[in-house]
Amino acid sequence: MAKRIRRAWPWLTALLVILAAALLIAQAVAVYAAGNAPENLTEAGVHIQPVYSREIVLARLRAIGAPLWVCVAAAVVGLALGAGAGEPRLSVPPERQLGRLMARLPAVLPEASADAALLHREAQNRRRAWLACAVACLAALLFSAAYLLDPGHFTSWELEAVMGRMLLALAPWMGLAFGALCAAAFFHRASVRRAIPAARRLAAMGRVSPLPPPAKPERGRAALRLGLYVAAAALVVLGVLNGGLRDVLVKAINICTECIGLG
Amino acid sequence: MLRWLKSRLPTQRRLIQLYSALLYNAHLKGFVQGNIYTGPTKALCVPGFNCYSCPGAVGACPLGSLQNALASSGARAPTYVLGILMLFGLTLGRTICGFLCPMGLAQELLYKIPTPKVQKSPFTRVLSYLKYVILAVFVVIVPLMYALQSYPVPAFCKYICPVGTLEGAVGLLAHPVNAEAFSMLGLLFTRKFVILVIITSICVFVYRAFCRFLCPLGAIYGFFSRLALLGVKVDQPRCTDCGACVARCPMDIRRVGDHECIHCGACMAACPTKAIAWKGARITLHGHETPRPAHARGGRALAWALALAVLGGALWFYNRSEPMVADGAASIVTQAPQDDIPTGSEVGMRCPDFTVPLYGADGAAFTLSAQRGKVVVINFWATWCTPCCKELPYFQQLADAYPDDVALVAIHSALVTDDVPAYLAKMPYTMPFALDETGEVIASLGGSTMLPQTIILDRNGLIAYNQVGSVTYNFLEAQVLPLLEQ
Repeated sequence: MAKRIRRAWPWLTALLVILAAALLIAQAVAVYAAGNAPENLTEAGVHIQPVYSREIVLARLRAIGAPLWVCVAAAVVGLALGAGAGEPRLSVPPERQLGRLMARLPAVLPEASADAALLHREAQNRRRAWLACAVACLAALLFSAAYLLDPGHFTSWELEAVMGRMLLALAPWMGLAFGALCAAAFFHRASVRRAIPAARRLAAMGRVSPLPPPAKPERGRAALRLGLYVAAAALVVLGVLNGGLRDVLVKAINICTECIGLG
Repeated sequence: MLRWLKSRLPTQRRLIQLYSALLYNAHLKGFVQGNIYTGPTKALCVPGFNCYSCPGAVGACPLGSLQNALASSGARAPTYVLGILMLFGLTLGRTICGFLCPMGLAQELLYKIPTPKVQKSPFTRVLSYLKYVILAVFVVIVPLMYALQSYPVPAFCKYICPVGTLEGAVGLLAHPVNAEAFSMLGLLFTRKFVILVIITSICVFVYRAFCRFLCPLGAIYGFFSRLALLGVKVDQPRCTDCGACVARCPMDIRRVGDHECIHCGACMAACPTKAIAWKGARITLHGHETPRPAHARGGRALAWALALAVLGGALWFYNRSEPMVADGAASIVTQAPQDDIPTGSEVGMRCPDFTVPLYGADGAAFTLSAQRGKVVVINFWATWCTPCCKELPYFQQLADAYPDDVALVAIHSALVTDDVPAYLAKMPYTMPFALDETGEVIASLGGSTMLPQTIILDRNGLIAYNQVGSVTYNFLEAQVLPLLEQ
C-alpha cells in the first residue's frame, strides 16, 4: 500500500503543479482582461482605474490560495515520503556504444559480409542526413541573418510591433532549422541502433584493437588561454578608463521599470 | 531516521550554491525596506545570473550589463563587460552554472519536487541550441540595431528574463512600500509573469530547463568550456569510453566537459574507473574518489572558515544602519506658507520649487515658480532608460499641442553616462531639457531609483499626478485637459 502511494504521489503532485501554474496564469490574464475591459477605458483608450493594484492582486491570490497551498503541501509530503526518488535511469547512449564497438572492429572488414555492408550503408545514410540538415540550417541562418541584419526592420520604436514582426519572420526559419536538426538527430539515433548489432557481430569475430590515444593540444591551449587572459584584462582596464564601469554602476543602481517587466 | 536525515544533508556543491546566492544578495535589508542597493559594488558584475534590480543584489547582472553595454555601444565600446565575461569564462567556464548561479540553484530545488521527470533525448539536445539563438537575437543583435538610433533596448531583459521578473519585479512589488508601482503594470508584466510561471513549472519536470534551453549566459560561458581553468576533466588513459558518465549526466552533454557540461561533478560517482576528477583538485573540491591528501581536510575547513568570514563581513557591511543624510538642497526651496496646503511630493500637495540648468541654453535655467499659472509637466528620464526614451516624443507632442498653457521640462537623471547634448542633437525635440545635477530635485519629488517618472502640476502648483512608469500621449492629454479647464 505504502509503495503504491509512493508510486502514485508524483503523478498527483504533477497534476497539482500544472493546476497551480494554470491558475496563476489564468488569474494574471483575468486581471489584465478586466483592466482593459471597455468599461475601464475612456474614449481615448486611457485606463480609468489602473489594471493592477495591490488589493486586486491579493484578492486574486486569496481566491486561489487553497489549491496553491495544497500543491506546496503535496510537494513537501512527497519529499518526506521519498516519492519518485531512486536511482536515475542509466542508459549508455547508443552513439557511445557504437563508437566503442567500431574501435574494436578488425582493421580490414570482410568485403562480402552483410554486416560490413550494413555498417557502411548506415554510416553513409547518417552522413547524408546530417548534410541535408546542414543545408537546411544554413538556409535558415542566411534568411534569418538577412532579416536581422537589415537595420530597416528596427527603425520603429514601437517595440511590441517590431518584436512581433521579427518573431513572425524568424519563426519559419527557426522551425525549419529545429525540425531539420530533430529529424537528423532521431534518424541518426535510429541508424546507430540498426548498426549496433552488426558492429557487435563483427567485433566478436575480429581482434580487439586498443583505443587510439587522443591528441593533447595542451600547450597550444595554455598559450591561447594566456593570450585571452591578457586580452580580457586589457578590455577591463580599457572599460574602466572609457567609462564602462560607471555605465554598469548607473544601470545597476537605478531601476528601468520596463526592463524588469513592470511597465 | 538518522540515515534518512544523513541522506538529505546538502552536498558541498549545494552549500556553495546557497553561499553564492546569499553573497550575491547580501543586501537583505532591501527586502525589508523594499528598495535596492545603490552602493559602489554594483559596478562589479557577479558571475552568475542575478538581477541587479533585486532588492538584495549587491552586484550587477552580467547579462543585463552586457545588453546595456551593447545598447550604448554607439557612445563607447562595451569593453568592460566583455572583459569581465571573458575573465569569468576563462577561469570558471560553466562551473559558474553548476556552482555559482542562483537561478541554477532554484531550478535544481524545483526539480526535487517529486513528479514524473522528462528524460534527456535527442530532442532536448536539439532544443539546447535554442539558447544560442536567444543570445544572438535578443542579447546581441536587437540591442546593437537599436544602438544605431541611440535607443537602449535590452531585449532579453524586457521580453524573456524570468530572473528579472521574479527577483526584480515580484521582489519589489511584494513590499507594501511599492504598492504604487502596481499602477504601472499592464501587458508587459502579464506576459512576463506568464513566462515566469511557465518556465518555473517546466523546471519541475525537466532538469534545469531554463539553463539548458534558454539561458544566454550559459551559452556565453559554454564558449570557454575547453579553456576554463576549473571544472571536471577526464584522465584519458584511465577512461574506457564506457559512456557511464554521459548516461548519468542530466544535461545534454556528448562528453564530459563539453559546452553543455556544468561541471557539477555528478559523473565522478558513475565512472567505474574513476577517470574523472577536478582540474586543479589539490586546491579545489575533491571528487568522490579523488585521492585526498591528509592536509586537504584542514585546507577545506580553512577555506570554509574564510568564506564564512567573507559572507559575515558582507552581511554586516550591506545591512549596517547608515547615518541619515541631512536634507538640504541648494536648488530646492520650500516656499513660505501661502495657505494651509503642505509642500511635498504627494498628489494634492504643493510642489517644492526648484531651479535646474537647461541643456543647450547658455546659463538659462528652468525655475518652477516662474511657471505659475500654467499646467506644468515634469518628466524625469535618462538616455539609458528604454521607456524614458520611448515616451519623450509624447511629451514633445504635448508641448506642441499646448504651447501657451502647458510648461514642460524633461529632466535628466543626476547620473549621466552618455553625452546627453549629443543625444539631444540627434533628436528633433524642441521642448526644454534640463539636468538634475545633484539628484536633489527628483528626491524632493518622491523619486527614487525607478525611471521614468512623470509629475503634473495644476495652474496653482499643486501636484495632480506623480507616478513612476511609462505614459502615452493619450494618457498625458487625459491628465492635462481637466487641469487646463480649471
